[in-house]
Amino acid sequence: MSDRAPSSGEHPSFLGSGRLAVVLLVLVVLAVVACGWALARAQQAPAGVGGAIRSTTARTTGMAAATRLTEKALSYRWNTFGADMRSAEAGMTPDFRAQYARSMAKVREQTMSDHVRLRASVVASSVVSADDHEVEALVFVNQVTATKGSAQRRVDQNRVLVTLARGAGDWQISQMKVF
Amino acid sequence: MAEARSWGLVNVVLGVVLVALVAATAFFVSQAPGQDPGRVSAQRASDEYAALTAAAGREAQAFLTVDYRHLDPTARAVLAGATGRFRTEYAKGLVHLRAAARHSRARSTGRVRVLGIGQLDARSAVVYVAADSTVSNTSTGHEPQPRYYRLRLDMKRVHGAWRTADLSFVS
Repeated sequence: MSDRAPSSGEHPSFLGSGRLAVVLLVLVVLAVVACGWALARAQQAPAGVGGAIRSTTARTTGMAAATRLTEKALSYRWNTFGADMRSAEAGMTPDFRAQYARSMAKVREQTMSDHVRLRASVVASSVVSADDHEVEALVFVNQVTATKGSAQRRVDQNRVLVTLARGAGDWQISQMKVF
Repeated sequence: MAEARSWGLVNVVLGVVLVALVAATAFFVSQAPGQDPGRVSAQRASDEYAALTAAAGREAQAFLTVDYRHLDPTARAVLAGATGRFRTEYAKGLVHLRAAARHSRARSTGRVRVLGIGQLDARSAVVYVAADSTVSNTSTGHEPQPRYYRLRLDMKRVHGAWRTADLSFVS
């Protein structure tokens, strides 16, 4: 006990010394530099990534969603028009939903009068770019249109660029461009 | 004694700051590229994607470009990016292609609009290409007309480079 008493008495003076403060200050400055360097390195995009595929999981799930949601968005029948729209809108972001509703409003009258049945089938689906929040997919779609009083069915072979966004939930269509 | 207490307080604060900085540095280092297997995997996939789509794009562009006056450069470009059955069949068909192109005075300029990867593994891939071309020949009255294509390219890795093993139109 008597050996430890002087030692414990030295601690306060060491902790309270200005020299220790200088040493700690130098270490803090070095740590700030190291931390800045590590932060910059962590924020750096992986080499070779050019806005293409940053997530293989997003590529897989996004491509499946693009196929399913594109078929829904581009298919409708005159006698189930409202239900088809609601089903398609469930897979769209609010902004795109509004755009889709405006487009559908324009075709509604003719769809009803001509008893239009439009079925879209995806014949090929692929991913252009993908990250955890957004997927761009190139989808080849065949749209078969049948109308009242016509035995002929029209087939349109379309190329569709679909952008999907994912917030907290599932993938949703945020943009769609037929070209 | 009061001075020692002041220095003590300063040193404690500096010590806490130092520990926090060391912890933050360790965290950021762990997040850097090359440390996270997921990010390394994504980087590899992205590099692979770039090489694959570049090869498919070149091939589609070459395949859709025809000039009856200078067919050899096009043919060479197609053959350079081709392998297997596609290369053999294209080479075989060149005589007919030359004759038909000369006969119809065909000219076509291909333009790749969008490429996407359908399937991808270490040795093979399927790339879909949306491409346009402007075509003129005797049947168009030598007036340029637009054409729109949906292509499927089956790609194979040959000696580390992607080559087109099959090319077809998606109907």
